[in-house]
Amino acid sequence: MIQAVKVSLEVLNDRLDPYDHLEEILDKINRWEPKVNAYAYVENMGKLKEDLGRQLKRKGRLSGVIVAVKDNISTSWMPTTAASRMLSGYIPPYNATVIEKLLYEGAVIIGKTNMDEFAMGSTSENTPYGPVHNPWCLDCTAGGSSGGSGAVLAYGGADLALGSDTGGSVRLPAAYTGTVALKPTYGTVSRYGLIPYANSLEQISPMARTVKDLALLYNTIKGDDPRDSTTLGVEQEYPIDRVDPGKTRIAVIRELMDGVDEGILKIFWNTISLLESHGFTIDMVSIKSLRYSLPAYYVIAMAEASSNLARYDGVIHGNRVKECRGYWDCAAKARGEYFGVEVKTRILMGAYVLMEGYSREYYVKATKLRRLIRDSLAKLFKDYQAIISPVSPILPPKLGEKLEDPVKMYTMDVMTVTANLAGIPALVQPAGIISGFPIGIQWMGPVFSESRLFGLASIVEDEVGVITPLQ
Amino acid sequence: MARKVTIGLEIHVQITGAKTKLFCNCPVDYRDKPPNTNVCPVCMGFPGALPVVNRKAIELAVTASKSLNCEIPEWLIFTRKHYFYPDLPKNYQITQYKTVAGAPVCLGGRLDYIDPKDWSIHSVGLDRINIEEDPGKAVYEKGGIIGSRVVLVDYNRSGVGLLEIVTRPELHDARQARIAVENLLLTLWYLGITDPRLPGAFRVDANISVEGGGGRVELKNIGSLIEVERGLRYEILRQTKIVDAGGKIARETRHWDTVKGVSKATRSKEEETDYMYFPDPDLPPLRVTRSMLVKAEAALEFTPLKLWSDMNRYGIDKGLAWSIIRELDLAKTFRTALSIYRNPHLIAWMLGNVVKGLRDKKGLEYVPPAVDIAYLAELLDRNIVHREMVKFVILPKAMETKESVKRIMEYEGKLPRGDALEKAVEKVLIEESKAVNDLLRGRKQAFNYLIGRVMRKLDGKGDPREIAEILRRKLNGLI
Amino acid sequence: MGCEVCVLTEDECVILHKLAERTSLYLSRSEEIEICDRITSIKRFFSQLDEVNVEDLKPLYHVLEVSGKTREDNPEPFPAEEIRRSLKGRFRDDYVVAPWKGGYD
Ligand SMILES: [Zn+2]
Repeated sequence: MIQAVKVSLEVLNDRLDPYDHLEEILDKINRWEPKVNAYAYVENMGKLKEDLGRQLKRKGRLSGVIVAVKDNISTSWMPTTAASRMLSGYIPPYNATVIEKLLYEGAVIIGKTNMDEFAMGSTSENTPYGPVHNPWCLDCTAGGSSGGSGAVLAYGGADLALGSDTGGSVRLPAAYTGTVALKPTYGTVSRYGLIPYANSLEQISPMARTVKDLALLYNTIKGDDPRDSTTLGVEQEYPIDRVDPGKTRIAVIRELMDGVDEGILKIFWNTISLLESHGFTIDMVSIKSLRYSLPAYYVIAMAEASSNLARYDGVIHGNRVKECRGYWDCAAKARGEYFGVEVKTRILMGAYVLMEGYSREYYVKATKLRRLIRDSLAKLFKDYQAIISPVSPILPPKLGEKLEDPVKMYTMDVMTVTANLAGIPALVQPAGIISGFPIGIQWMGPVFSESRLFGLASIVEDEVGVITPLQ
Repeated sequence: MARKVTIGLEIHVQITGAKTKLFCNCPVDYRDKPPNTNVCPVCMGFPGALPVVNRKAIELAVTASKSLNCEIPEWLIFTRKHYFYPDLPKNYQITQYKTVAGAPVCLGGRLDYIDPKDWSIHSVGLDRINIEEDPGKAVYEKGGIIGSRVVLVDYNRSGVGLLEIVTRPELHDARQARIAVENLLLTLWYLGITDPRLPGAFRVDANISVEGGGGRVELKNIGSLIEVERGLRYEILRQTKIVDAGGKIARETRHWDTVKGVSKATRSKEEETDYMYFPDPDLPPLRVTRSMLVKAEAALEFTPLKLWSDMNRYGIDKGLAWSIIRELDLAKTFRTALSIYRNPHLIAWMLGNVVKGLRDKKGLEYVPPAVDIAYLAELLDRNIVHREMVKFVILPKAMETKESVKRIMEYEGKLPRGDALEKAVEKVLIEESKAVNDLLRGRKQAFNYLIGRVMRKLDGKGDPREIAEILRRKLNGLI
Repeated sequence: MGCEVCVLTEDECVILHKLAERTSLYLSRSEEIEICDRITSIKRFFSQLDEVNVEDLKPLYHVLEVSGKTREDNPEPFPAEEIRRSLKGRFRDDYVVAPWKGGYD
């Protein structure tokens, strides 16, 4: 499969027919979608060709590149439902800032990818479109919540994809589908137009098949946005750094190694040896506070979720029910009818942790832990340039396996939520294959160290090779 | 029986001094626009749209806080307050709150106000001021808020910046409460924060308790100064009657019905609401910058209380002073006219007595520009016109026709017309060739001498400034 | 809704009902049972936080702790027809119609 970084150039030099390229992708979609269910919406061929014609004229760095977008990122001409029945039929009146940036660079948005409802989930099963199947193992999950975006890339249904990452939502799917993903430094990518789940934790995040493509997409979408108060006023490019192993100390964190599947461990330690053979210094360290990352993360995420989802009462936002009497009854019935059980659980628990009398014990305490975790990591980064860890303690679970007990599903995020709590960048890439499953590893670095993470990942990618995409 | 009454007020004032809403670029001026045309994804609460703070609104809020002697924190923090209501697009309001890490723009503070009954000055303590967003406007159909089947909502107002000013329960009668609000609005008007004359620019809620009654009642929906006094009087009387009869007052919220002039209980189950406050993750804390404080400080040069003490110092009659202070355009004209020509008494008389009188009696809104008022004061001082002429001829004409005072004076024969002036100047230039030569050689005094000669030719009716201008023109810029 | 369905204690069950009311969430009886279980599990999970003492730390609400943005006071009207298009079917005579004492009709 052609790399996205080459598409616009090849098209420009007449070495690639962009329409053939589009059709090739649509063929794959036709072949794989019935089995994988990764798209919530695919634009019709006529409209896509029209879009392609217009976008080629832009001669941007993504001219001719086909991008899949997670269904919680607002597009003014396509449905944006966040995989919720609450928003079925909703077409936003505006584009997310990242969409404007993609269009500006000449990209074609091919469709919206399936996900967990409102990004709440780690398996892409909580969705009215039906679960996303992992192209590597059709009765397994593709991870979540951006499972659709990961799966689409794995089978070649787009050149690049956008996801969103609140607690690992692009990294888990990347690990499970053999693709690469970056959760950027908080505030480097605009959230304007991202249907919010947990504002203080999440970032729209690039996903790709190679590190170069990932860097290209990240550099396209990043940047200060006057419409998002939480974007940082930094304007810089993030090229792929050439990392000097002699000057790079890497930490393995004991707290992120607990209860990890043996196959995953094997690939992980292989990668460590490989890095050591390159001359990197790697130490095992312990950060006690990370033991509380997961509950602290979920308390904060649910509190914010409960607040963000209050707007769906059927009046301006959210679908309406016919049989009801009075505003509050109509709101409660619509919310009861159209939200899924995971969403309801989080709304209730979010309200619980914010309630007077409980907020000190839960919400405020979690934010204090957040400080502790952020500061502990900042201290670690004085001595180490990066952290390496597994992404998930387990191989992709079978579909349906995790649905019963919510906490069982939450533990899938145990290694990824720390980066969201601390606001630091985290990159996931495939590092090998075990019994037919691609296995990911995770890089974390201090804030704004994206270039370094790209560089580190390139070293591994050069050794391991791009995980062969599925045919 | 007279019982001690305790009143605390919560005054919501729209920040109409800003051109845009608090968190989006929609215009603040929503009045007279077709429903739902003054909206955008942010103020309609569309998923994914994000608030960005309007700096001007913050500057005005800081100015208000300074003027009310508040403690202003270094960082402002916005908080989400959650409740479900059809006029609230996100079902939370972005506001400020003291707890859960909140930091309102003003803590503590004091409102000083003038009581025009005896010109005494009083104070009421402030609890805090929050900056927050206005909700949309709900229109109830047949049956009103009690019985309407549906509610029609216009979100044009949604997101307009509000200051929620909360006083301590330190007021003790309805009239006093009304005067405090009136003074407050006047101050905010002077500072360019709000225009209280705009319909809906402010709303007042009052907490009222009567000694021996037990609970306190929150009276909502008071939309004008007269209603403040009327509503409070009604509620105090209602509670007093109940207590006198041996009853108790339940803690509740009541709705002031302006038309019927009564207060009505709204919802009886007024349980403790939990708004689930927490800091808005979309809005990082905002630093109150030095430049904001400097701007605020500069604005405080012109406030009703400051003007009041200045006017008192000039010895202006207090009633006259108050009638000027109460109307911002008169007050501004007073200040400017005084900076041009320093006779505070004449200027105050013209504005507070003549102009204000004509405004009240004839509904004339136009105020002649400050230069004209200053000019008239000078003419009065120089006995070129007398007060009766100013009061019954010149100012009424100026206000009716919006003509300049000079023009009116010319029509009335009180001033030589422009061509007469020109002729007089020409004559003097010929007659006084020696003075002209002196002037051209650099003797500056000769200029004033020439003006004096022209004035004499016009029997003292000319305007020296105008004569000087003509002289300069005639001398072709040689001087 | 009765509390007997809950595996939660009586107090906790009262809280669940209060939460459902506060968050305007209608729960069917079967959902209530399911959610009771889930909440019990999550509460147990959250109780891990009891082990750690962070009393002396300041809360962290914005991870990078930078000062917020402000913008200029320049009006920029948004095209009303875009809002209209997105909210099709929710209007009556230019107003958004919401239920008050009755339903949507
Ligand atoms: Zn707006």
